[in-house]
Amino acid sequence: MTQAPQRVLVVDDNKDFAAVLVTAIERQGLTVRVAANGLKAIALCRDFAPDTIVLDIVMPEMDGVEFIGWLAQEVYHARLIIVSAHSRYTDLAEKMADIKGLTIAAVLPKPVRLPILMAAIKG
Amino acid sequence: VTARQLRRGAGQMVLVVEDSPSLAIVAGNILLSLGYTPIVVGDGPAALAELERTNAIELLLTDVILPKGMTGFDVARAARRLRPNLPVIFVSGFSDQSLVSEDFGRETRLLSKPFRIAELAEALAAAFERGGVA
Repeated sequence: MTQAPQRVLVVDDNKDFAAVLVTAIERQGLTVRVAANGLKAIALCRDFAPDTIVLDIVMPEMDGVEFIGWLAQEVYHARLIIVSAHSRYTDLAEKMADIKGLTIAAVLPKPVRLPILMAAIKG
Repeated sequence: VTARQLRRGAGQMVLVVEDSPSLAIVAGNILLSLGYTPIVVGDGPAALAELERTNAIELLLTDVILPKGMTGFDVARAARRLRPNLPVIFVSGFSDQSLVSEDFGRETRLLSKPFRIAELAEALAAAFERGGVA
C-alpha cells in the first residue's frame, strides 16, 4: 500500500514567501495548503489535518503565538516549524509552546534557506 | 456593567499600538467613548517616535505581536526608558500572563482579546491609579 503524501500547512501572510514555499514543497511530492493568518490556519487544520505546520509569527487577525496556544489544545499534534525574521518573536513563540507543553521541531530565521527548511519539513 | 457605570477617563492621552487597522479603529473609538484621547500607531518604531514627539501621552496600550522587529514588550521597555513611570497595558490574543516578562511587574496587565469594554475601562482606570511603577 502506498503511503499518503505528507501534508504541510504553511501559515504566513507574506504571499510571495508562501508561494515560493508551496512550489518547493510540491516539488518534493508533498501536499501543501496556505493560510494567511492563525484564524484561517485553524479552519484548515480541521479540514486538512496537516502533519507539519510551517508557522510565521507576525500576522494579522491571529498571530503565531496565539495559534500555538490553540494548537496545544487540539487532540492531534502536527510537527511545528517556526519561521520568523526576528528572534524577538520566536522567543515568545517558544515560551508559549513551553507553557503549553508543545514541542517545536525547528525554529528557523527568515530569510530561510530552502534546503534547510525542506530538511526540517521532512524531519 | 452599564455604560453609566463604566469608569471613565478625563481626557488623558493614550498611545495605542495595534497593527490591525480594523482593531486600531475600534480601540480608538472605544477610548474616545470612555473619555480618553487616543493616538493610534501601527508598530513599535512609530510608537517611540510618537512618544518622543508628544509629551502629553500618559499611558501605553500595546498589542504584543507587532511588525517591524519590536514586540509590545520591546516597545514598553523602550517607552519606559523615555518615561520611567509610564503606565502600560498589554493587549494580546493570548491570555497567558506568564508571557509578560517579570521586569514589568505582576501588576502590569495583559488584556486578552477580545475584551469587554468594561474590562478595558477598568484596566485603564487601575493603571492610571497606580501609575507606571508596578
